[in-house]
Amino acid sequence: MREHPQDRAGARPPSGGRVVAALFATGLLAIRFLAIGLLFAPSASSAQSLGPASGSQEPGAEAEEDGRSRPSRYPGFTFNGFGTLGLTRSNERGADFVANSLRPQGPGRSDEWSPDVDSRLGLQLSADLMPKLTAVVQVVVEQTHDDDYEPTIEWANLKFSITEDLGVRIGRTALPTFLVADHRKVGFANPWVRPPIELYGLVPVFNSDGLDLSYRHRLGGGWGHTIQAIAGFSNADLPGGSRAEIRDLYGLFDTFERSALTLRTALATGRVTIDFSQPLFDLFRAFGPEGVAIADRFDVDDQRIDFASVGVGYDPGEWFVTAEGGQIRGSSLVADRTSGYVTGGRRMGDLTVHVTYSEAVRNGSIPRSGLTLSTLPPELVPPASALNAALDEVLTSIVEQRTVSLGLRWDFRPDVALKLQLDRIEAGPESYGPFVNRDPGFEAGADATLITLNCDFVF
Amino acid sequence: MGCKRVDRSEDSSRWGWLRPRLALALLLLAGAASANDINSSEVVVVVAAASPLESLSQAALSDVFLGRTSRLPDGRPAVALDLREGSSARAEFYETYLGRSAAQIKAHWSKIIFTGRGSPPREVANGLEMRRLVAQDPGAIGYLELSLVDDSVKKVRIE
Repeated sequence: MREHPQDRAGARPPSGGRVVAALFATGLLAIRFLAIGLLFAPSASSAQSLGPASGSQEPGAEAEEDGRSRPSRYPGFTFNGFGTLGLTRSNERGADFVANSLRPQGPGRSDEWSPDVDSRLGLQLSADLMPKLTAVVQVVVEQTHDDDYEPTIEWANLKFSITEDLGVRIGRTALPTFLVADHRKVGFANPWVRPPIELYGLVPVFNSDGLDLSYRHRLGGGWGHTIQAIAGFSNADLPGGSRAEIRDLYGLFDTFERSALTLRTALATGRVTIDFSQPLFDLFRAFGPEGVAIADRFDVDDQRIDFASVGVGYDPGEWFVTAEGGQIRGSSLVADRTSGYVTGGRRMGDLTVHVTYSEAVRNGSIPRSGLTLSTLPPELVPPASALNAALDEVLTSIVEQRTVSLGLRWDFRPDVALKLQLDRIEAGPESYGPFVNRDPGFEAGADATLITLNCDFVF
Repeated sequence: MGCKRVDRSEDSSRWGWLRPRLALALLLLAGAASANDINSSEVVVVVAAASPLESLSQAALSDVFLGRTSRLPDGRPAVALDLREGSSARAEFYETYLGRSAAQIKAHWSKIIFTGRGSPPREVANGLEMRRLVAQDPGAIGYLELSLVDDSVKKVRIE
C-alpha cells in the first residue's frame, strides 16, 4: 500500500490516519450524493428482486435502451435490503448470552427470550454516478453497544473501477477478515442463524475507514483469484461506555475459487487501544515495578495485534462443508487466541440441515497474576487485593468456549428463509465464555442451550 | 472413392453416394439431440448466431452466471442474461446447468450485492426479449426454451 505511507516516527496522534481520514471524508461525500440523488430521482428503481443491473461489467452490451437494464443514463440507483427477525432463548438464567463483546445484553438473565441477538435491518443504496464510478451506502439497524437500535453506517464508499477487474474503494468498507465476514450480517446469505461466534467474535470489528484495492484475475485450470488489500482505521463503542480503537489497520485478503471450491486467507495487523482497561492498569502502575510489569503485560494500549485466518468451503449444491480457523496474537496477553469451526450441511429441496462444531481457546494458559500482598504495607493490602480481583475478572472474561450447533433452514419463498437452530455452548473452565451481566455468584465454566428461531429476508 | 455408379441428376451424381450415410448421420444426430434435450429439460444455452462459441464447460458457464468472471475461458467477454425470477425456464436453467435452486442463487447474489462486489445478470422480461438481446450481442450468453430457438441464435453445447 504505497499510497498510504506508515506514520513517521513519533507522529503519534492520528498517525497514518491523516491521509486515510481525508480519503474517508471523500467517501462520506458519497452519502450526500446519494441523498441528493434520491431527492431528485423519485423514479429510482426500488429494484425488484436483487436489482436490475448487469453482471458488474461496464463495457460491452450495454447499449440496449430497454427498461430494466443497467443505467444507460447516469446516475442510476439501486436499492436493496436485508433483514432478520429473530428470537433466541437461553436456559442459563444466571447471565446473558451475547454473540460478541460489542453487545450489552441478550437472552438469559435479562429476558428468557430475546430478539436482540440476530434481529436487524440493512438498507443499501448504490448509485452508478459515472461509467466507472459507483457509490454505495449501507445502513444497518441492530442492537448497539448501549442497547439502542440506532442506525449505523455499515459502509459508505466510492468505488472507482480502473478496469473491469481492478477497483479501488475509498471510504468505509466491510473488513473481510473471514470467509463470510463481509456478509456476516446478511442472514439470508448464510446457512446458520449467525456465523459461529467463536471465530466471528474473535475480531468484533466489522469495517474499516480508508482505502481498499481489489484485483480479480483468472489463473490456469479454472481457478479464479481475487486479492484485496486495505489500509485504514476503525473504532467500536463497547458496552459500558468504553471504546476500542484500531489505528494503522492493514490487511491482505486472498480468495481462490474453482467451481464449487473456495479457499481464503486473511492477514491483518493494527494498533489497538481499548480504553476500559486503562484506569485499572494505571492503578497497577502506581504500585511500583511489580504493578508496572503486570500492566505492561495485560494492558491494551496502542498494542500491535496481528491476525491471520484460513478458510475453505466446498459447495457443489446438494451438500456443503466449510471449515475455518483464525488466530489473533498480540503483545498483550489478552489478545492471544485461536478459534475455528467446521460446518457440514445437506440441502433437500427447500430444506437445509447443518451441524457445526466451533471452538475458541487461548494460546497457552494465561498465568493468574497479581500484586504480591505479603510484601505490601498493611494499609495497601485492601486496595491491592481489590485490584487483583478486578484483574482476575478481566482475565476470566477472555472468551474460551466451544459450541455444537444443529440447524435447519427452510427456504419457503425465494427471498425469505426460516431458520431453527440449537446451540449447546460450554465456557472454558477458567472463562465466562459468552456470558455477561452475570449474577454475583456466577462461575466460570458455565454452559447453556440456546434455541433460536429466525426469519431472514432480502429485497 | 469409386462411387460414381448412377447418374441421376447434376447434383446427386457427385453426392449421391453420401445420401445413405448422411441419413444415418442425421438419424444419429437427431437421436443424440433428443437425448440431450431430455437431459436439459428443454432449456438450452444460447449465444448470437454470429458468435464463434460452440461449446462451454459447465464450470465456465457457472462462473459467468455466478458473476465470478466476465470472460470466457478464451478471453472473449461474456455477459450473462437472465430471465425474470420466478420464470420456470430460469429455475430449470439453474437446476440443470448449475445444480442450484432458485433460493441458492438468491443467497449467492445477496452475498455479492451486500458486499458491493457486483450485481446479478441483467434480467429480461421473457424468452422473446432474451432471444432478441442475445441475437444482437456477440458477447451475450442466455438460455431459452428449445421451442423459442430460431436461426438468430445458436445453441451452445455444455459439457
